Amino acid sequence: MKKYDLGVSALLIVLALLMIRSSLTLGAAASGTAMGSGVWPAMLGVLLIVLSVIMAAQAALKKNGAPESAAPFDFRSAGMKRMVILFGILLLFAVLIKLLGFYIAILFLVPAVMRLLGEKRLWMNAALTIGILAFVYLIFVLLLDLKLTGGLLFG
Amino acid sequence: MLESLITVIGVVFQPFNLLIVLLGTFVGIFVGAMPGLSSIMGLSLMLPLTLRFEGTTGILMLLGVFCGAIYGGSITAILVKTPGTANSAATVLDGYPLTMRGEAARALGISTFSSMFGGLFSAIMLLWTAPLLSKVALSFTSPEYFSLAIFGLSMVTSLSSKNVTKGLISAVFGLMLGTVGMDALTGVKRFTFGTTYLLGGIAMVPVLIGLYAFSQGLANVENAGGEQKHESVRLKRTFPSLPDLRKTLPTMIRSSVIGTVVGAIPGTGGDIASWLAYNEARRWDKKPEEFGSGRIEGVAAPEAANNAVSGGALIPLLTLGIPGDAGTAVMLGALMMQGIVPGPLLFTSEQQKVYTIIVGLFVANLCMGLLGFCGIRLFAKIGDISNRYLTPIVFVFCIVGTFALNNSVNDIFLMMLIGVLAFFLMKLDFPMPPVILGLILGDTLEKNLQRSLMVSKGSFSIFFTRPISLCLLLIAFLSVFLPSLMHLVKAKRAKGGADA
Repeated sequence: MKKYDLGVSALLIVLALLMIRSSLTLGAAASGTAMGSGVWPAMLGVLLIVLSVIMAAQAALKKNGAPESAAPFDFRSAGMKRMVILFGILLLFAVLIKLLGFYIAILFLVPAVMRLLGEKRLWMNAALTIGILAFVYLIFVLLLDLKLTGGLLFG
Repeated sequence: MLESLITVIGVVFQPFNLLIVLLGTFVGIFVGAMPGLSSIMGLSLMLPLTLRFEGTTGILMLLGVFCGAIYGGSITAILVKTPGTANSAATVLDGYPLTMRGEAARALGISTFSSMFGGLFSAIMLLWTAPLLSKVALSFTSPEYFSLAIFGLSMVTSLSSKNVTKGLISAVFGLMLGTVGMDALTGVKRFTFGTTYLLGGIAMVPVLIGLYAFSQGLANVENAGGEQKHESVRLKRTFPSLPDLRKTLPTMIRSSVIGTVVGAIPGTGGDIASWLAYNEARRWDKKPEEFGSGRIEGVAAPEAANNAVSGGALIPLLTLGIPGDAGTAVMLGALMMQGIVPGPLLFTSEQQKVYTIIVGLFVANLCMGLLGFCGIRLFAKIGDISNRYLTPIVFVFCIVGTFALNNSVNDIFLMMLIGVLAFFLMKLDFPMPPVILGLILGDTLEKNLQRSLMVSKGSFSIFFTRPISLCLLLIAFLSVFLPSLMHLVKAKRAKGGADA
């Protein structure tokens, strides 16, 4: 965890510096106001730097023999491999929903996630996908009058 | 007051509203009983749906989810030794031994009754104390509101069990998200990156759903494969017997008081209340050594206490606009989106809405009892549902719920982005409730800082020269730094002891 904490601290400090720099361009206090629009974000940026430094110091000062919590990411584990595939599925889903709309994107997402989680029975995949779509259509479209996106092609 | 109350009772008891509360409670029990789903996740997922209802119907539904989820956690705690929520962890101690003895129905009956008792008790306390507290809070001006928001933020220490610094960073991250969009006071665009989508700021719903529901779905995918199959339990009579009720009544009353008081203290929550109540029940008992081996008082105490927290937590929420825990933080966001701004003025300007919430809480607890006694056999099977089916359902609800808010695909992308970010941050031990707290309180903080500085002509001394403001800031300071100081003192003492 120590190296991750140090890495995150560095990342947060960079983020805070970028925020402070942007805040400085937002202008000083206008008449009738006590502070400009950039003051509050800049204050938050400074606070984030202080906290990140504390976090980094806490990580750095951890004694070498001290009990270390397990590493948060095991990139070789089955779980992490599933996550990588899932991120791919979600990326493809994002493209599909933008282009082809909600229904087709869901027709892809639900069976893909179920398959990823180990459901191999085709009929179960089909039944749950159709069941979810029917439920969404019934509740959100018919009952609550929500128009689900048809995407760029069918919208 | 009485006139408003009678009008509100008429509204809440309309068949449609009752049905909605019942539905919300059902959903709440479902998410509460399902390990891997949380009450906050249930609230976040139902929020977009409730926004589509007119009037206070949506709020009534959320109250149902809020109450149901707390109770739902006890079902799996008793039956399969897996608390659905942290609030029911103490229930396992005596609930599961009762199941092992073949008395699962007795344990569930007492759990249902005490949950309902605790919830109703706290709703009455809310009705009694909230208007009194709001009168005190009426004297608050912008410095006090600023300090109050700081005090609210200081509860991140209790929401960050592993590392307070990381909790504070999460809160600052939430505050930063709150700065995106057009500054309401000056009209200047901040961090919009030239897009019109971010002009109105970062919407609460995609963030909520991303943080609490989508990220949990991602975690379920990562942890898939470790599911356990449980033995099914046969349940006969679920309503508790009269001797059992007589035996547990003093415990229920005591635990309800504990739950209401603990709930009213920002930064505490149902888990603390239930452990406190359990300890008190054991301390007051003639045979404390029997606790842990299947005493019904050991079930009644945590359940009455954690449900009493629901009403207790609404006291600071409605009167001061300060959420008591992560669940009430979501409720605060939901109320604001419904056009209800919690705070002392709410009791004078929108009395009927306040009473709707209080009566709604009362009815939600009744519905919880009704569903608990009638549907316990069904809810007992919830823990058996595989994540294989539940996770895709959660994903779809996240997507539809987010889209329903503004009919915007960009909201879906934002939600997914926040969800992925939250997944990684949680793996790095960053707590998520402070993010939402920061996002909600950010606006109050900035506006009241602006106003206070205008009054004081730019001097920060205004926050330290007003007694209430100073008190609130002191409490906030202590609640952030005292745990660390105590930890240091303990470590030093332990070291001193070892050296000696």
